[in-house]
Amino acid sequence: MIELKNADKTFRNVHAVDHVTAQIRDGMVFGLIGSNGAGKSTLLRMICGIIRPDSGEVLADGRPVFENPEVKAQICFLSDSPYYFSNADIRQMRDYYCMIYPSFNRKLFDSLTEKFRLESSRKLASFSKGMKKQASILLGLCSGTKYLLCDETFDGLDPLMRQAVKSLFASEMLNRDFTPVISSHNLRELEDICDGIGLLHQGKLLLTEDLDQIRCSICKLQCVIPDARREEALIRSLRVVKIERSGSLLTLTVRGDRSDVLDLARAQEPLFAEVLPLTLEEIFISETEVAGYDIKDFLY
Amino acid sequence: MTSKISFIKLIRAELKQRGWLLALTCIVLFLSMPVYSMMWLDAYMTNYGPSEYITAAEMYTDIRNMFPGLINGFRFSILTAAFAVFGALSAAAGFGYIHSREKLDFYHALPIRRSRRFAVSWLCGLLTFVVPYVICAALTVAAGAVQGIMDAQLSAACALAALAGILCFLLVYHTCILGFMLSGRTPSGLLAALAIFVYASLVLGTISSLQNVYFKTYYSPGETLSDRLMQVLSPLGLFSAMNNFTGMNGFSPVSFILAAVMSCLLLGAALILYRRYPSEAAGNALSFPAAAPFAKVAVCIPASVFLALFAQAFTGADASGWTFPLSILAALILCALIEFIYRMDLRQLLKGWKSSLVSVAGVAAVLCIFQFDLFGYDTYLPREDQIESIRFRADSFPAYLNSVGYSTGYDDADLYYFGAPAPDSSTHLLYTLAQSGVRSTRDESTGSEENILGAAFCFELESGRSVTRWYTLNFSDAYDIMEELFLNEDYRRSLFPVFTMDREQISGVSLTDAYATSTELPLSEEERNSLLDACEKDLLAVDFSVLQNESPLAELSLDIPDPYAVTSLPASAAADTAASKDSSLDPDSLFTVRGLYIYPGYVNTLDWLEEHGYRIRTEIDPQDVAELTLTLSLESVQSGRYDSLIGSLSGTAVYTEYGDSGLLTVSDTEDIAAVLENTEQYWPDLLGNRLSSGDYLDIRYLEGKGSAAYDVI
Repeated sequence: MIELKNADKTFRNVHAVDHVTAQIRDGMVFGLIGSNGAGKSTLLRMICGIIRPDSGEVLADGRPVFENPEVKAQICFLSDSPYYFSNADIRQMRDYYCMIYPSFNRKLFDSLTEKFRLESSRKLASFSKGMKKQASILLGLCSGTKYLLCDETFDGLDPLMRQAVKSLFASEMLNRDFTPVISSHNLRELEDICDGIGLLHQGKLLLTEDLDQIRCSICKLQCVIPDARREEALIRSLRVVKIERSGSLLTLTVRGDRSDVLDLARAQEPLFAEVLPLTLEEIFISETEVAGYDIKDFLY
Repeated sequence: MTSKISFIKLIRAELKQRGWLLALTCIVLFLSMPVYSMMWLDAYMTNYGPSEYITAAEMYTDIRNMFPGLINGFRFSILTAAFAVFGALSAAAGFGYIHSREKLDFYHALPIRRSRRFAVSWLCGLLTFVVPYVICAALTVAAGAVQGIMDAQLSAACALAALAGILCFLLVYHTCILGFMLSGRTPSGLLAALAIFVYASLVLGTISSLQNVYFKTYYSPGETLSDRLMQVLSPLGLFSAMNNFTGMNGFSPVSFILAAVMSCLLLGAALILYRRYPSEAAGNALSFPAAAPFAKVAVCIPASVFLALFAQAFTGADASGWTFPLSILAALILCALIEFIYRMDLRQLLKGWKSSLVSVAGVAAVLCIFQFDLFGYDTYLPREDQIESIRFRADSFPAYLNSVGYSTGYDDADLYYFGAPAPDSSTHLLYTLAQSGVRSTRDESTGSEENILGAAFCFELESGRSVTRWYTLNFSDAYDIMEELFLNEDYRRSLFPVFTMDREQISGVSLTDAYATSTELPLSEEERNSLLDACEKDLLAVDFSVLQNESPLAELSLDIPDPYAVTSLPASAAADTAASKDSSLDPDSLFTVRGLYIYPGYVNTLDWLEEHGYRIRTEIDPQDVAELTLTLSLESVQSGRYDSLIGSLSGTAVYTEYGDSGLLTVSDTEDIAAVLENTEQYWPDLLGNRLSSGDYLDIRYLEGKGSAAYDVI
């Protein structure tokens, strides 16, 4: 399990990670989502021991990560822009990873490169951005580490590849003790793969929960209530995150169980009432708006 | 699971990535060491091979002396440059990754401790240079062996030269690594390395220059404290010392140890910083931003003053007048430049205005300290009871004694310029003279040139420290004190080299009389000693006023081995000289100690010369002269002092004026006699009160008798 205990990091005037406390349980795919500059990369770099937190602790399996090779041997970090040795081909990188990570699955790597049609004799510098990412993912996946930290690794992969990688993750999780942590601001990518997410905003962790739990705990209510007083009573009775109105149609983003929300709405005798699940993207936008980050401010 | 990554495997993997550097190092070193050495040997043997001027043995001796310089770069500056370039390249190849976020993320995410990662990068850089270098040094030695110049001693010298070369490389390599650790960008890392490399030299050199510019009493004979500190504290000074090392006889274990220690300190500092290196520093000018204002101030103050002094020296501008405005201007420009390096944004040049203000104020404060002598440098005089001895040297001594210092010991370069220390009994008198110098400096009292005398003092304190000062003295004060000092036999003995020099080293004695030609006296050792005994007796008996006011009849010169012609002894001669006391001296190189003047009152010397049949000619017989050429100075031409002489000469005399001087050439015997009557040879006096007119007489004697020239009073 990866534990962040009040981890804090400031770069000059930028509070990149603001006293974050969270846990990433073993055996789950954890998604780290957040707006640009939210601190996702910094958090991942702290988790894999590249950056030392100014204060607080980052532990993997109960032991600090920074300058601890034994712990770091269980963590593989895939940067958003992977680095390969100059003039290296995929075999040279494989050999290097083999040397660094004793559990590197060379056989699997060779078979996967073949399946992904990555030419092993071709210089990595001549690979496309997507191919470089594929190579990076395969190296990370085959390194045999317990934790694989992917910093926006899925960006740049075509949908087919994304699906293939997700399958590989699922397969690895079945076969061994494997916990991928994936950061992205492309929420749709994470929606169908993550078991849990952490939502970062301006260095702060707004929430960290199982995805199903999040989905159950927030929903969208659409209703039409002719009586203004009843409408107001409904709003007061709900934990409203966001209110939108289009003519007489009231759309509320609400915290709470879907059936409970629907019952409360029906109690106000609406002409129409319906509860819809939120997409991860909607959850993200809602939560960040609650935290004072309005997407409209950004656009207009 | 425990991570046990093989160190050897890491090295091997790292070396694979540096193949280009290894190849480049091999090519450059191969060309600049064995290939260049073979060409150099061939060219030397062709151009300076055995001839009527040099024997084969002498040529081989010369080659042996120079050969180690082909290994440490002393004889081939491209090799010296290669040490510096490969030092920087090795650092960049091994540690440049910390300036790239992608690379840094990759390496720092690996399960390897930073110290281990550092060791791998460092060792690879070292191996990339040292292995080809040692191989090329061995090939160079092999090239020498093929030419038949190698022997055991030269091989040892070459090994030391190779060690010096490695230390040169290490100094640059470690400085660059440290520079890289201080920065998040490679160009600014290289600038930081440059600053570290030259900083101590810059600061100490600037302090010396400021003392020279602002302090009236500043005097730096030979190697100063700053020079010595530079060789200890500055990587540049140590690099230079290692590069100048040329052979066994130039071997200084202290320099080698200091270079190794400095190299280790730089490496240790780099390792400490690397372990704390913030990964987020990649891409920023400074890896430790809190140090930015301190680094700026520390660099800006000495660099500004140095640049101002350099600009003045370059343009020949007045020494102190321009220093202040130029330094302030340089400080402002440097502050802006450093801010630009920090931020790479012209709009933010004033962002660090506080540190800029401190820098400018610091420059002003430093200059004020020197301008107003706030620490009382010019008026400082050690307490008399602290002084163990005083060495005193009037500015005129070298012209009179010609060889001050040669008798005092050859190793102490500082004191060489002062001569022997005055005896204890003279200390108080000299101290009194120094006090008068301090007073005249404090009161800024000056007089006409005839009434003043410059003199340097070296106060050797009981603590072991030496204090040197130069004062302007009142001539009559100095005269009186010298008269008193001359009453002391010990002082005379300390002043004149003849008393202290090792007579066994004297290889020849020459006599110069009014004819101004030097004649070597063919003396046996016994005769030489008895002549010098006679001279010593006369020197001990002579009155100071004689040395100061009278003209000598003749001058004796003594040939001794040149103590500064320190060269590698030829290997072939090693056996012959093994038993000699000082094997570092090249017996072929001589220094002539002049200034043993013979005055009319030197009865012992004159009697000795007469007894042994050596006649001193007190004036030139015109019959012996074929032609005289008198060169007149501008002053003589303008004053017309020779007009009547020129008017009285025969028609064969030729007088022409050109430019600022006149030229009178006479060949008629009567004309020659007239010119000789109207001119008097200039002989220096001890306190330099007698001045040459600036006129100059060239004498061509009749065939077979040579020629001579001397200054005219």
